[in-house]
Amino acid sequence: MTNTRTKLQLLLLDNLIWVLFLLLFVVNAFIVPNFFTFQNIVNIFYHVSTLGLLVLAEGIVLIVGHLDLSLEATLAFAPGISVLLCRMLFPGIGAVAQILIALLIGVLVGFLNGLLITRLRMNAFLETLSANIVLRGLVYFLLPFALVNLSPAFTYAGSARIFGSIPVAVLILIGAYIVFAFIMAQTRFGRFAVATGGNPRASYIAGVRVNRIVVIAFSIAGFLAALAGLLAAGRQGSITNGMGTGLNLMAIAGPILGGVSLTGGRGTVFGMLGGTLLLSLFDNSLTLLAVNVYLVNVIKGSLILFAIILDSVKTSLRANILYRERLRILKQTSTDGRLIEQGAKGS
Amino acid sequence: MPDAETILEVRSLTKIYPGTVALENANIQFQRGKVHGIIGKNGAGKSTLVTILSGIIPPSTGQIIIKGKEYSHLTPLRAKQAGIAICTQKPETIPDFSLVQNLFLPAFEQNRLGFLKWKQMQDHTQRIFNQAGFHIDIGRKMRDLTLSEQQIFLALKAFFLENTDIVILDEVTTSFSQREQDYFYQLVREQKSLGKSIIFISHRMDEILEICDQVTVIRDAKVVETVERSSADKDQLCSMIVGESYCTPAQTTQEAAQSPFFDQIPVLNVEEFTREGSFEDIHFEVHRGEILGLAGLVGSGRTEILKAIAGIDVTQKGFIQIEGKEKKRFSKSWDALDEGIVYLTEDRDDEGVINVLSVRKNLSLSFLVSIARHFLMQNTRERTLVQNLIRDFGILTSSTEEEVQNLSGGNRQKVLCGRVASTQAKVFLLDEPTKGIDIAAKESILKSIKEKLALNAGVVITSPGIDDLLIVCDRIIVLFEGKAIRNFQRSEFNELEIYRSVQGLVSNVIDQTVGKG
Repeated sequence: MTNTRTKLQLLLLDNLIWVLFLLLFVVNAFIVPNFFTFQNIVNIFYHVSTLGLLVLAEGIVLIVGHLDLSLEATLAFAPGISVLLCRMLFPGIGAVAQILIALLIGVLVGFLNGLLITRLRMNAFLETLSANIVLRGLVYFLLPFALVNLSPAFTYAGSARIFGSIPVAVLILIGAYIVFAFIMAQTRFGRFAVATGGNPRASYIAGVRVNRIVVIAFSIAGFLAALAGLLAAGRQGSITNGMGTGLNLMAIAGPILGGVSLTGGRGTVFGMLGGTLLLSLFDNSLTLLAVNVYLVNVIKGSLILFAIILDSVKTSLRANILYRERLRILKQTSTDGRLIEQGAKGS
Repeated sequence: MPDAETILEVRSLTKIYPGTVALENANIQFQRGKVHGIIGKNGAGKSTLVTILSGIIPPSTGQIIIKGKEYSHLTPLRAKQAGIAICTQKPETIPDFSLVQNLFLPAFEQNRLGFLKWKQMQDHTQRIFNQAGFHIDIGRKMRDLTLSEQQIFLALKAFFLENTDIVILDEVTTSFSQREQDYFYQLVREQKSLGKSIIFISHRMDEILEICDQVTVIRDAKVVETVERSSADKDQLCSMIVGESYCTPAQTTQEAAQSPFFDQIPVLNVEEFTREGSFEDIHFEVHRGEILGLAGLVGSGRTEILKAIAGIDVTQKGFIQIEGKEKKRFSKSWDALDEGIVYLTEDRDDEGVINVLSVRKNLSLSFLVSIARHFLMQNTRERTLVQNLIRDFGILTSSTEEEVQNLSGGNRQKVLCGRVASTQAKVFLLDEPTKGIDIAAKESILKSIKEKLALNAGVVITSPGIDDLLIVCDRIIVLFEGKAIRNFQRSEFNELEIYRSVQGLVSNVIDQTVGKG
């Protein structure tokens, strides 16, 4: 029933972030020196690999209708505690085990967050804010300024390049997005996640185990934060105790830019990727243009503001397009156009 | 000619919506210093009249005359200036404000410099509370008050602070306890003697008869009659409200006495269901293919009983039996769903549909588990089933991917019905499936219930009015204040009689066979 023009309008509106990204990309290709080179494009991805995983983590938590402010601390906590524990308790243990333990710690942190939020009905904002402070405090307390002499296998994911010059981190980032795009679109969990975020009470009545969905979402977020921590540690060759500081807000900005709703229920992994890349693209081109680093922050902040404005405009635009579409269909099926117009407005 | 005492009058008031007439040529005079009751069935036009008088919607034609001044329509501001205040079923207050703040909102008392005079306002509040005998600490937050206390509070605001002449009380007493009710009636009587006019809208006849001086009966969008309390009696009012009484066509005698299902094992057997303060010792059976109606006023326990059976809200006592298997009680919605019991909520927008999701995702929510292979979804299977549901329930949507919030109320309700129907349950608990939708949508939903849901399952259905129940049910149980008081077989259906029971007007109380098929 829907005609092609409406379909196209909706498609563009729903993927607005990618339209913006492509526009900016083309503009950059012309005005920014050395932008449109293979190496630079790989750099855009490499640069954003850590943040990109946090964006994915935050996006999934936002979709189930909550917020996770403990991601940036988990990023340092998981690999830091893992390496520390292994060095103290099992000196001979391999790097692979260290990596697995780090990921497990990430999952546990998320699991605990989810448990406290669902069982004790704590507010997610406050609970994860406290968790962030506690975890960061523990990292500062337990870790020396940095853990160095990490084994090459431990830093492989963050630093190695394969197939010529493609960083492994970029492949992990893309891999994670593909896996979660599949999970969110093709599994029961993904469907129940949007339902839970959209209306938890209605989902419960419809038979969705909403608490379980929320706990799983937080566990996934913890896992991805730990993975992001491994990439960050690998890239710099050490685990510093301040690692990840300040990333939380960018991790929230990414999904919002990508069309994820702050109130839950809405958003796609594909959109999150667009948000991540747009953030990175700005960073990259402004650096290449040698813009002052503080000014870069001003511009990024404005970008987020723009995204929020865009989001509200988008909603009314979308409603408007659908309204006109409904009117058109009604007019086709009826002869009395005026009465129909009233009816369509009333509904 | 309006006599000197008439403070408010509506003349030939009509409201037409596309496809339906909500109020037709209404003429009512409201007198100063009187309590004027308005009663009628659900959808009779009571709320249309109230929303016109409070200025929320304009009438299509007709005049509103307040103290001799004629208006073609009101706005909320104009109604307020003319001295009309309204208290609704859902109190509108700011939960985090104190009582003092809520009382004076938005007209806070200020001094010349614009500072708020808190001390004076507190004293004023205390004076009002003392005068009204409302014993609650003025420093408390609104959220600490119960629903009924909030309603009394708003009535106080209308009576004492805003000093309005005309106060509309729109079904405010439904959640009141006996003590609150007595207090409130006393308050209304006092205010009446001070010359205020009170318009009292209610579903409950005993209440209308206790408090009102005049009663206007509205039926099918028309004013039937305005009668003086002194000359009205319950039976006469009941007949006026119900109108042309629905009786089942005469049936063959052997069928009349007993239910056709009596020899089967019931698909659902509910026994001794009790929750303190909500319902007491409820027991009934439903058979496969049977539609059982629960009739009752708001607060009679309909919703609470269904939610308790479906494991959505837990209860302390009682058990259920499915197809004669072991006795149990559910405490999780999915446990009930797994055993084939599904609940359709009466609160469509808050507990039913998920507004930001598409029609497809809303419809498939409850059947995903049954069609999914492991954790993956079956996309083609889902699409086919969703298409079938859209066709079967006649859901009007431009595509399966349209967000549910863009659909009309009736279509959202159909989406909810479709989701519930898709579960292939053994027992459907339908809580007001026809609430707030137009006639066409209502008919198609009732048809779906009768022809599709009841085919292979037992159905328990409630409704705000009894009309719908008369159409679809095989049996009706009447609930009054949490107890089952009457049981009607289809052959005994009589609208007037059922309406009287719903109002609690039963002569020979609690018949022991209530609930048994």
